[in-house]
Amino acid sequence: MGYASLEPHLPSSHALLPPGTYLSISDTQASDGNFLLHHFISNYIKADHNVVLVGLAGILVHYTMVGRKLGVNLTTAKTKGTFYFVDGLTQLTDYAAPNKDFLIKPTEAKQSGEQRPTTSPSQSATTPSSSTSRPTQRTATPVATAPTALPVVLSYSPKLLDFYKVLEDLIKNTVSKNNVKEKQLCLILDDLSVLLNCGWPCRDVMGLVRYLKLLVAKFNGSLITLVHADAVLAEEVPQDGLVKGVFYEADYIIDVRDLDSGGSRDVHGQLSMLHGPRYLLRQRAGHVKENDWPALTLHYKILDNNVEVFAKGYSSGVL
Amino acid sequence: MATILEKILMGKEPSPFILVKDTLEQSGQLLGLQLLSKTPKDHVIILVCAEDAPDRLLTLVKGEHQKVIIDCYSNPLGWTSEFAPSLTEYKSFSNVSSVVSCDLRNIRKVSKAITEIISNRCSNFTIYFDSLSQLLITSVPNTFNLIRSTTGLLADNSRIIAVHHEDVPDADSFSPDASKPFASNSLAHIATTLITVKNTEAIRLEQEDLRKGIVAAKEFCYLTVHGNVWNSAVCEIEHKRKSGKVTRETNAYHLESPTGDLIVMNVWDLVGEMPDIERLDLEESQTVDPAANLSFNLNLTEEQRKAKNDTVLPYLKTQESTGAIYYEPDAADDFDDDDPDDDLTI
Repeated sequence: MGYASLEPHLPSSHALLPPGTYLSISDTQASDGNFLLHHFISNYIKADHNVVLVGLAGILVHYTMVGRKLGVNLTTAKTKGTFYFVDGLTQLTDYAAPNKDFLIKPTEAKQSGEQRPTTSPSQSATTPSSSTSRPTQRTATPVATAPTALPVVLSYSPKLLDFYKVLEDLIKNTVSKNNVKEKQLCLILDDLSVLLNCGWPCRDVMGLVRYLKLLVAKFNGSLITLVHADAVLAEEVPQDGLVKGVFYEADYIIDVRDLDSGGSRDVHGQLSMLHGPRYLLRQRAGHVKENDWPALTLHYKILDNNVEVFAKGYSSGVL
Repeated sequence: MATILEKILMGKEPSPFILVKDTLEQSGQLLGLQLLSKTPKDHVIILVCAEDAPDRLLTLVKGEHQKVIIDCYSNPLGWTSEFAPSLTEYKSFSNVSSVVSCDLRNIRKVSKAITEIISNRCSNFTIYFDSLSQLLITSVPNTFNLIRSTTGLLADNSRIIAVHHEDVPDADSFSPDASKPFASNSLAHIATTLITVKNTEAIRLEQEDLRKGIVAAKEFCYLTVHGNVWNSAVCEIEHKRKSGKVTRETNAYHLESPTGDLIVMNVWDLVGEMPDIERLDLEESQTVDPAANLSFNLNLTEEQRKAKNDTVLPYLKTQESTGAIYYEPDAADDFDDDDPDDDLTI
């Protein structure tokens, strides 16, 4: 299950996040927080729960390869219907459209959506109504017609609402296919900073997080996002605003950064489990147990197929 | 003597607009909700929820007040209204009389909703904004208008309590324009009570640095592991009385358990005495005694000191008589005011 040494520090029941919660992971350029996402992906898949991964910074192959190292076969999970991948990296740009004029305006799509066939035959069979509410779907893009066509096709739209609608449809489909009462859902966004770089305003991205949080909470799920919190980025108002906005929104916060003292062969960085303002309120309302999520800093070392997490100064290289 | 925070909490110091300023490091929501819970019983509470779910806030508001909810939380951008709970979903909470859903794109609508509620009922109100930052990120002028128009409508005993995250950028900061004042400062200006909530540990570390005389280099991070501790916080209060008198005080609060009551206390009981730099210097000069490790005695006994002080020294006697200078000019003296150095052979 994931990284065994990290498990005791997480607020989890059976290695999963409590349903209806939101975990925000922040990282820096020097230390990528991506490895934490793999921990949750593999945990949820192994427990046979649903995972929807929105890869805005990585392609499916990347996650599949890492998953294989952690002993999880994402391809099988995908065929089984418990794992969904939304390719935001290659599809969420208007380069994917051969001609920008080709981009369908949301209103147009709604009118013409019913006439347009969906990209994958299996999907159209299971979700005949979804095509109407998927305004950004197109058949003309090269990505969509490729043999490895994914069930969900994104395209750039000036409104972030369209992106949300696609995810909403996908999650609703996933839930309707699998029994929601028994299964939990985990929606992972890797990573949020990309959305700002794509040109959407900070306020919309924060709004998206809020809507997604409410959406997954409705389906017994939890939300995990990654955001970059470098000192250099903090000078940019939208980046700074996003990190702060996300921290105000999150139930749990994990901050990944390099060591204060610099690099080391045996310690790759530090993880801080943090209490955000919302955690304080949950504590006040008596929703969390006292030692559920103690605020502390740990060190970690990334190995070939595992990540070792240990208390400060307890690195095997030191002891 | 009761601290000013205690007086405000108990309602002994009337204040029409209490602004609680906080940062990521220490949330002021706890204090804001405590202030709200201490609202007089005859007040109707209007909860404007923009950052937290209304049902979560309701569990934290104690007391049997009539409540009206303005829900800006579940549909902030007007994308979908499917998450907005209806009035029936608040059945478990007593005294929720109505729920109004608003989205944050149009703050005027929020303003209109509040105005309607106030004008329809004859009562005193307490309006609680769980986060002004969420409104300010949409539009700064509209948020100000909302607060100003609401203040104008309220009766004498009614009040506004608002939490504002001063570290979150507002709509103006996205397009830097030097002519605009910072929203945070302008808000502080119209508030009658300004409470700035600070993290206890951060203050403690600051003082530690001051005591040592060195400031330890800190790595950049948004939030530290000491952030948002449940058991205490330091509050800097600036309270403007109706008479125009301004009181500034630093208090603190302390909790015995996460769900327990807030106990207001003196800040120095919590973080230790504030090191006064001048006093520290004085202490330092007093503590260093150059005559401490000598092989002979340089100090005087009390008797010797008395004898020393009583001894009349010869030069003191001469000083008792008043002196005078007599000068008789002779013939060679030639006083020339134009050239006083005339007699010198220069």
